[in-house]
Amino acid sequence: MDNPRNEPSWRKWYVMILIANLLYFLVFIYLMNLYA
Amino acid sequence: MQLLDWTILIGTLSFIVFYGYYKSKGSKNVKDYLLANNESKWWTVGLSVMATQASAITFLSTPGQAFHDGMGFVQFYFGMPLAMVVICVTFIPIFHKLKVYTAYEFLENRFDLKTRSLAAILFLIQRGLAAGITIYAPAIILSSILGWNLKVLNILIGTMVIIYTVSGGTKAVSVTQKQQMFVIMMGMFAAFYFIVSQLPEEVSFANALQLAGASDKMKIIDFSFDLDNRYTIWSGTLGAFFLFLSYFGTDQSQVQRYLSAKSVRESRMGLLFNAAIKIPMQFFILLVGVMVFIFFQFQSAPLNFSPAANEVVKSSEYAQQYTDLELVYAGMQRRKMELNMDYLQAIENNTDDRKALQNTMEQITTKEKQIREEAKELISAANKSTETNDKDYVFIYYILNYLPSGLIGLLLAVIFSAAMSSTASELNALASTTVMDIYKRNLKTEKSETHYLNASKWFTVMWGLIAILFASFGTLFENLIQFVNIVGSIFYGTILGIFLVAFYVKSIRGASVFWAALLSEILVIAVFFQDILSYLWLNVLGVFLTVLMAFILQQLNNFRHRPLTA
Repeated sequence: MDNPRNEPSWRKWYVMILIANLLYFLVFIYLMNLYA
Repeated sequence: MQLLDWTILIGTLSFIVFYGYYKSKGSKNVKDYLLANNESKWWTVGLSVMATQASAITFLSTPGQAFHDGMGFVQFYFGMPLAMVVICVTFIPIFHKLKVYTAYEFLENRFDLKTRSLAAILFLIQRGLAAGITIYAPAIILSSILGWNLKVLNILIGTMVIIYTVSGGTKAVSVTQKQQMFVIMMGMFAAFYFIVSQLPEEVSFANALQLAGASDKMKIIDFSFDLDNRYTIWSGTLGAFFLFLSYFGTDQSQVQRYLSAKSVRESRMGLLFNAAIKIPMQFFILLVGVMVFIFFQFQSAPLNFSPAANEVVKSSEYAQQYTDLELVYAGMQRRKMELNMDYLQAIENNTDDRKALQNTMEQITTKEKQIREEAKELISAANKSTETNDKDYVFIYYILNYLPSGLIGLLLAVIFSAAMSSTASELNALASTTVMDIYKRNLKTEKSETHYLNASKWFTVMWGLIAILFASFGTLFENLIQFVNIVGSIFYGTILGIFLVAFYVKSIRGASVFWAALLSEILVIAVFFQDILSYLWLNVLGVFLTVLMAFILQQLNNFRHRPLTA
C-alpha cells in the first residue's frame, strides 16, 4: 500500500505547492502596488 | 436574534452533533476509535487538519485584526507550506512505518520510554489547559455581546463536543469537522457578499479596495527588518516556520488527524491540500475584516466595540470625558465619509487633488487611532483589569447589527462550529496520549483491547470535564488567554527540540536527550520567572537549549565510554 514505487513523484508535488505559494506572494505584491 | 436565527443555529448544531454520533458509534477496538481504523481519505484529513487549526477565535479575531491593522497578518502563514513539506518528507513516512498511535510513541522507538513519557506529559499539561480556552474564549465574547450566561455557554459547547467525541472517537471528530468546515465557509462567503452589497451604491468592490489602500489597510507584505514589528515577511517565513513545524509535526491534536489516513499518500495529500489553500483562505478572512472597515467608513462605528469596556467606562467618573471623545470621533467619521466620496470622485476623474486627499485621509486615520487610544486609556483608568483591545468584538458587532435575520443564526453557527471542531480534536488527542503513552505503557500494561477502548472513552470524558471546569473558572484568572499562551511557549520549544534531535541527529541517544529536555525545561521556567525574555522567545530558547544540551551530554557520554587503547 505504501510502496514508494506506487506513489506519484512527490518532489513534483512539493515544488508545485511552493510555486503556488510564490504566486500568492507575487499576487500580493501586485495588489499592493495597485491599491496601497 | 429572531426565531429564524434560533432555528438555524439550533438546527445546524443539533444536526452536526447527532449526525456525528450516529455515523460513528460502535467502535470495535482502539485502532478503530483512535485512528478511525486508518480509513480516512486525503480530503477528510485535509479538512480535519484545517478545522482543528481554525478555532472560534480565528473567525472572531482575524477580521478584527484586519479592521485595525490591515492585511499584514497574512504574512504569518508563509512559513506554513515550508513546514508542511518538511513534515511530508520526514515525519509522515516514519510515523506510518512504525504504525504509531501518537507522535510520542515514536520517541520510545527512537530513544526510550522515559523520553516518550516526558514529551507526552509536557503535551498533556499544555494542551489540557488550552482546551479550556478553546471553549472559554468564544463563550466570553458571546456572553458579553448577547447577554447569555457564561457558565451555561461553557457547559453547552463542552457537552455538545463530549457527546460525539466520546461515542465515536477520531471518526466522529473528522465526520463532524467536514460539516463544520462547510458551515464555516458558507457563513463567511455569505457575510462577505452582504458586506460588499451593503456598501453605498456608488462604491464598487474595486473602489472599496482603493479606499482600503488610502487608509493604509492594503500593506500586505512588509519587507522591513524591524524587530518591533510583529508581522513582516521575515518573521512570517522564518519564525512561523518553526512554530508550524512544532504544531503540525509534534502536537498530537494535529498529528492524530493525519495518522488516521489510509496511507502515507493520503496523509501527505491532506497536508499539501492545506499548504495550498491556507494562505488564500486566511487572505479571504482578512479581506472580510477590511470590507467591514470600509463598511464603517460610511456608517457610524462605536469608539470601542467591546460592550463590557463601554459599560465600565460609562458607569465611572470618566463617563463625561468618554462621551466628549465619542462626539469628536463621530465628527471625524462624518468628515471622513465626505473625504472618501471626494477621493473616489478624484480617482474617477483622474484629477490632481488625489494625492492631497489621500494625505488628508491619512492624517484623519492617524487622529482616529489617537482618539481610540485615548478611549482605551480612559477604560483602563476606570478599571485596570478590563480588556481594552476590541478586535475580537468588531466582526460580531457587525454580524449582530447589520446582517439580515437568518444570516445572524448562520454566522453564530460558524463560531460554535469552529469552537467545537478545535475542542473535539483536542479532547480526542488528550485521550489518545493519556491512554497510549501513559496509561497503557506505564500503569496498566497487560489489559484487554476492550479495556483500553473503554479507557479511551472515559479519558475523553475526563478531559472534556476538565476543559469545561477550566473554562468555567476562566474569569478568575486575569488575562487568561495570555496565561495559556505563556504555558504553551514554556513547553512547545522543548517538545520540538526532542523531535528535531530524534529526526535529524542520529548519534544522540535516549539518556542524553531526556536529561537535556528536563534541564532545558527547568531553565526555560527559570528564565520565565526571572522575566529575562518576552514569552514568545521561550519557544526558541526551549528548542535551542534542548538540542545544544543533548549534543553536549552525548559528547560527554561518548568521552566517558571511549576505548582506553585509543
